Amino acid sequence: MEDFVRIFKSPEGDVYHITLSEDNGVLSAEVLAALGEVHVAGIDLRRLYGKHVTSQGVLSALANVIADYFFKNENVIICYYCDFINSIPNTSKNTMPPQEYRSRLFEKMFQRYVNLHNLGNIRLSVVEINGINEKYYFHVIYRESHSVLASMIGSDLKEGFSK
Amino acid sequence: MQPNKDRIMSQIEYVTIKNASRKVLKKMRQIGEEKAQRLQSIQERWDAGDYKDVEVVQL
Repeated sequence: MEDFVRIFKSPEGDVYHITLSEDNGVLSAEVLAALGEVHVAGIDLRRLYGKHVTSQGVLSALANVIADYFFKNENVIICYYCDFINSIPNTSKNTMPPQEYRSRLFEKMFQRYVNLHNLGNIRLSVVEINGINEKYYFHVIYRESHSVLASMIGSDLKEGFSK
Repeated sequence: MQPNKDRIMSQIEYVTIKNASRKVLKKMRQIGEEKAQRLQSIQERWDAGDYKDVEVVQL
């Protein structure tokens, strides 16, 4: 699968970059073998310029890009790992860690999109991994028909990709 | 509206992994660090004008 790159400029002048690309690096050999023709795609999302609060219009545009990629590729499962290193502008008063903020925002985007388009056969798994001092979040978007494979990806996360 | 909300919530599954092993946490941190590097690389390419061929869509 080719990388899918889009760049947006918001009415406020902020610039956002999103890439969807095949990403098998996080999975064990056993799960990769079980996936067969199904591919796993990762999302890299970066604000390239600006510090305004991200508007609903931008979130909708990002959701549309993800959906476009997802529906063009029948055999794809999308994994979104929430970045815990880069901070989020305008959240200095907010004590929520950036990865949790991103996780909640991503979930809201999913809810809004499936509601707007009345999609009943698309699923989202939100995996929260509790560390000693921090949490990690992993989202998996998949078709109902890929439920077994999505569960295997979840199990892979639990077991440390060690098989 | 409520039935629709209930339907959407049934499409979302929440999995919490408590007391994750050191190995899992190490892997999670590694994935995060690799992702941060990719994002930094995207920023550097943008700053260097490397995305001239990609259309910037005005919202």
